[in-house]
Amino acid sequence: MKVTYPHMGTLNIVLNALLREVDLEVVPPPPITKRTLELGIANSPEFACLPLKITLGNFLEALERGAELIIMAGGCGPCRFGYYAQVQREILTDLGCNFEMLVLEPPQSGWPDFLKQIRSLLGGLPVAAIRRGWILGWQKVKAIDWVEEEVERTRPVEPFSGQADRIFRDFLAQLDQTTTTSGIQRLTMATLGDLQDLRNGQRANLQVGVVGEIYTVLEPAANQDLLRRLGSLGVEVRRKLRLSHWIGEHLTLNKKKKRRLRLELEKLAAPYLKHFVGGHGLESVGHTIELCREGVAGVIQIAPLTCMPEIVAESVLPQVSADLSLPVLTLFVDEHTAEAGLQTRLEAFIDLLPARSISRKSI
Amino acid sequence: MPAVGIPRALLFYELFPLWREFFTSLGCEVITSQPTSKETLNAGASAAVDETCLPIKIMYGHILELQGKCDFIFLPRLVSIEPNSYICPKFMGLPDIVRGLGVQGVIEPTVDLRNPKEYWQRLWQAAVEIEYRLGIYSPTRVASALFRGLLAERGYRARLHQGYLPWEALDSEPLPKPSTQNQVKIGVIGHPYTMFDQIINMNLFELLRLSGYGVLTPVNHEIRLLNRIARQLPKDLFWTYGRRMIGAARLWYQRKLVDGIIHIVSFGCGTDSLTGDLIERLTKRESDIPFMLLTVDEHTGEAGFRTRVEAFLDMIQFRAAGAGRSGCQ
Repeated sequence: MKVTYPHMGTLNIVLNALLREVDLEVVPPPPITKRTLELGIANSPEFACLPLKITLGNFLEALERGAELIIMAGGCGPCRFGYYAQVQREILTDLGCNFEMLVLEPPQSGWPDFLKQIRSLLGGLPVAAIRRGWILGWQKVKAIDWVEEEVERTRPVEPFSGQADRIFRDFLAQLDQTTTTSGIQRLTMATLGDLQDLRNGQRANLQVGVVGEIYTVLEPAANQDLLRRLGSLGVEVRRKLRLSHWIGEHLTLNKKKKRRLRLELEKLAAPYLKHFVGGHGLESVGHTIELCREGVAGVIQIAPLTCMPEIVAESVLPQVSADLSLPVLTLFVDEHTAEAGLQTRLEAFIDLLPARSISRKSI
Repeated sequence: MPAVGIPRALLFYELFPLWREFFTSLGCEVITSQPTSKETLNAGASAAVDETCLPIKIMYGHILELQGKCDFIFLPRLVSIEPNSYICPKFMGLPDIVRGLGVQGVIEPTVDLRNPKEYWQRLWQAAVEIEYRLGIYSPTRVASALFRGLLAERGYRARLHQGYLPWEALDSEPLPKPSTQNQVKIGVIGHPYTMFDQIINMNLFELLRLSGYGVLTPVNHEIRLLNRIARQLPKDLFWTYGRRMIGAARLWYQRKLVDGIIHIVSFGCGTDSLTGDLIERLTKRESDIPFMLLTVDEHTGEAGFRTRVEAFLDMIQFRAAGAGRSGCQ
């Protein structure tokens, strides 16, 4: 059975590793293009958030390429993401597509269910293979996050624009082919070395934090390449939301650590937001404060239009901004977000940022 | 005797009887804001962030109206009001998002009844939180107030189940019920704070009744029944009102209780963007009952709204007449 999944930034590399290890034939959805978006928009509810539309486009294009089984994540609310799969299944059914859908509900709602789903997918429970795939996938996630952080440091100071991104692209392509832990380590080290050579010990003198809804932060097609844009404007991007964050949050088994991180975040956000609000609303507030303490000159919040948790965050961020005297720009993106408008707003925001001295020495 | 202000917005038409009874039993005076007007809306819309939904903007307007008129303003953090569901993320952050208004004396108990095992414990905690805020420290008084409040809510629900609309059922001795025999019935679904707010619904219910139609809404049915029907979906919805709406729509078309369904959505409503679509799909797939989605925001003109409703009603009449004729042949 040919398996497919939705795109979210570099998630495809991780999923490829995991799925290949358990001997499933993978049909990855083609990279997100204008057509993906158009297919998604045409068939989605009008006011649904952008990630639903894009992932639906992914599924439609993957089904065209012969995929038979869609793997999608679930959730238990209150963010809409938890119900995406259900709505998408109905839409695809109404479109007359021939497919099966496996929704991986988070293990919080019960391990037996989760294991049953895995068993139904693999026709058994090859523990060793899953373990292998899991370890390999996790190594790749960490490698990507590590390299990406360095890329974000390098972009604003690279001698010629696009160099860091070229290295990153090559790295991702090679990483996708790597199947051993030692290979991943070698590749990561080599790439980090290349990037550091390129950076040559320099650091951008303006750092901007990026917070918001995770899909729009991670997926360049959804945020109009926000991170790269900021880099080419000479700004170093600082963010807490990375792929490992999302995976760790949903699938980690270390409950103690999870609870500790959660409490830290809640404590940070408490003066402004006293309760979790689903999605990454609480994170947006907590991370803004955390990033401010780390010395960023401003924070950009990005989210899909009508995103409920981020609207709550947006409503309290003016207070945070005033108390910390930290400029905050909120960007809501949808399919109508135009490149030029976004670029202008970013340029205006960055021009107005008071240059803050970075106390930390460059590494 | 402290005066507690309760804004006539959001879950007012769901839980006001409970709140009113609770606070009066504790010896408070209950003040409500006036029914939503254009001024409320304008004041709210200019205070709230642009991206938020209409009901929240209206909530801001009501809070601004109550500001200064009472000692306390009651703004509960309603995380969840029934097991295994949430209302909407915006309710979970409500006291926080209106803090920018600088309102004094906010009573903001956290109500989280998501876990059925902790239901009573959490409800009790919320009641105690309110009592501390009011400066009352008497468990017996709170217990009796909570009990009387829940009893009042039950009475209110019972009146709603007889077919009254919320504002009729709020009075303990409602008007005689309009006869609904042999009437063409329209089912109206939506969040209670959307469809029962007279600025958002543009007096839809009056329009329907004056045109001679019977009206049904999800509040006219037992919540348990609606939830049971909603659970037939492959995955149970985790939004309280989404669940009730989908339950009501399915109940109506499965038992042929209505001749048309109108869904009122406020622009930018997150939960309705998915549940609304699901309801529309299921209604079209599993029945032949006409379905209309009306999206409203602060710019919606009444003329356009009415025209669409009237066109929908005409179409239903037309269908009814056509069906009758084909039946004779």
